[in-house]
Amino acid sequence: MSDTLSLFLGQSGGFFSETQVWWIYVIALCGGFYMAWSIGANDVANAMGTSVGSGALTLRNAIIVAAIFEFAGAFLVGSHVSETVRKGIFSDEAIKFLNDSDDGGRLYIYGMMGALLAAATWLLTATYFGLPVSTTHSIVGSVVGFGMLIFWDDLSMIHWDKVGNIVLSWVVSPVLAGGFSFLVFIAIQRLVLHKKDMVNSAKRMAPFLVFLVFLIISLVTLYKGLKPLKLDWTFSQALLGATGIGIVSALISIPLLNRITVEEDDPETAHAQNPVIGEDLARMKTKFKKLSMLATGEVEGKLESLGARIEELSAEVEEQDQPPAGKTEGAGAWGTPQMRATEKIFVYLQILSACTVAFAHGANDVANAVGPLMGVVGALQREGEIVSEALSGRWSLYILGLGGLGIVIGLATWGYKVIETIGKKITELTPTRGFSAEFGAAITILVASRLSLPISTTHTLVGAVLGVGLARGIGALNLRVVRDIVVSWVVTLPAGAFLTILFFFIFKAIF
Amino acid sequence: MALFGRSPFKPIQAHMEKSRSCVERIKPVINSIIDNEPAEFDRLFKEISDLESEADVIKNDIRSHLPKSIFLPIDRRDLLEILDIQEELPDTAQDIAILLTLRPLKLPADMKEPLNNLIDEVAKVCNQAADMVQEFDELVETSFGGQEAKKVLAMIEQINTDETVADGTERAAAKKLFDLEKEVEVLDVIMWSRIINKLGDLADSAERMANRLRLMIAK
Repeated sequence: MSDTLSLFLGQSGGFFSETQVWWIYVIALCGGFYMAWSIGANDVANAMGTSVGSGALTLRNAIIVAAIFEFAGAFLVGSHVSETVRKGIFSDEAIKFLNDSDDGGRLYIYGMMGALLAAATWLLTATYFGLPVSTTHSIVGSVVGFGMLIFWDDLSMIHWDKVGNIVLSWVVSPVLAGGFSFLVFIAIQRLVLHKKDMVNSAKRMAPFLVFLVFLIISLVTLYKGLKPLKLDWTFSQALLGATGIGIVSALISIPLLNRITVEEDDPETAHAQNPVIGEDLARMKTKFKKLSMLATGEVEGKLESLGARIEELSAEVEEQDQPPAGKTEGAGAWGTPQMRATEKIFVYLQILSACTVAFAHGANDVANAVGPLMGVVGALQREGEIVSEALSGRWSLYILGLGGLGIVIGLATWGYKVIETIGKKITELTPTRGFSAEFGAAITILVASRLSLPISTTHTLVGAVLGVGLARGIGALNLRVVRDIVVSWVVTLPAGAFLTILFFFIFKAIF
Repeated sequence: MALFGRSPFKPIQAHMEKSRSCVERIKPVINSIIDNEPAEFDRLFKEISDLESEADVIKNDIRSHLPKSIFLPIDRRDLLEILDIQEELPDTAQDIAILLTLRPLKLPADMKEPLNNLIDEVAKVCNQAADMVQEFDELVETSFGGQEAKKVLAMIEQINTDETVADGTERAAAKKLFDLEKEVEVLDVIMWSRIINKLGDLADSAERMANRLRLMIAK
């Protein structure tokens, strides 16, 4: 048997005292809540940023809609991936071994708490240094690190094929999302953008897209999704229900779509200045602020007065560029009236796809927060026994609910800032592009969630956007982002593992 | 997310507008010499120089925002190539303006009509090229396909046809100049012949841009 494990075992018999249990609850809940908060604060902008940017949703409405869908996704579909994080990487023998040994449950609790705090610490550090890291990679790296620590001389106790699948899914998910969004955008090109009568083609295509979005989202929810609510539907039942929901939504969308009309050219909506000017002035503004902080003496004053003048000019340009009240200004504001009306139709579809991404995001990413938490709570509930089957009953519901709540609070306290920043940036992601990317990403994330695979939603979305770019859909994409993603992986996995080991020993020393 | 680079298409349109303004000033600047209006000439000469340097700034800005890691809906080299050809328009316009300053020039009355014909035809081709470049944002919006691409391909055809016409007027103007060689000073003949060549170059540049864009759409 494992010698490393025996090193840890047998130092203190019995289970935790009441105070200790209380403290463990506090630490684990705080760690889990922080993770959920951070997911809500940083990642939700991915789903909603473009909708706010294109003027489809106001910031307030985006927050409300995101909160609803994130929570629903986390609560209804979140349990699958959470189970993987909780115990997926341990083989059955490993769990049996931990259960059989006196102190196995204790070690597992230390490890899961360590993983939570390690991932949280790493996220904090990475955010401080501005690195784009994924909560998923942090938590998986942390849990694997813990597993390797206790099974160091019998690494076969770890489910390596499962770990392999998870890592593979990180490569596959962006590629798959890119493929989906490529196809969706090609279809939109062929059936809408390249047609003579773009607007009516879009109106004809839109109900089908509405149908698809609702079919997918309700199929994932209905099939095995509503288990916590004691609604266990078979696949054919779920398919029937989902098709019904899809058809009804498509029918509802038709009269709404017909209200959209082609507006003739309105010079008022055009930019008064080349958009590049406003962007660069904003950049210069911050640059001057930084410089005047560094400078001393006469130079400082001069820099400050120059900075103030640039600020004035920037405000002036922004004023000029401000669209008149009631007009939506977005990336689709240029082009012919036909194109603008087409993009306007897709603005509404993009709201739908953004909701789907929020739902899918909640479903997949809540696991990063609640997976280890479920492990800790489950083991405490059963006096150190780790159950292999899914954590059942009201505890699972409470914890998923807590995770969902954490995401919503993160979104409400910090996420809106990120959404605002992304929304304000002038991107080339017009509603047709945004819809294609989000649709491709959402399908991929939902499929991964169904397969219980924890994937990075951010990276999946990046893959989806690149897919639209490959279909010649986007003005300019910065491919350096791909390198950043690979780097963030390579750094995050060992960092998470190392920090977990550190926290493991701290907890072991304390308790 | 640093996923989105700065799109070069709006700036390239801004560059083309500067170039268009340069080319538009060729006719008045040449006529200010013919009609002997030095004040008018100085004003226009300065305008052309200013526009040319403004176009230069835009061009450098576009280039500095297009590192190899930027992925575009068209071949990056095609875009840089089209920008280079586009840059020839303000450059050549400025060259013509400079040629006019080198020595006092006289134009025989009979030359006026063929020369203005040539300038008009060249300006027409350049204007069409500018209109074509102004379709860039619509082309991006429809991802270089469909009706919009057909429309731009038709514009390209038109540029090809009109460039042939401009070639004809260039030959006619040159022919007329040498027909009048007895009446014109030799150095004037040389200078006007160079100006006529430069005018022809403008139409050539416009046509080469059109052909580049055709390749981009066909990608």
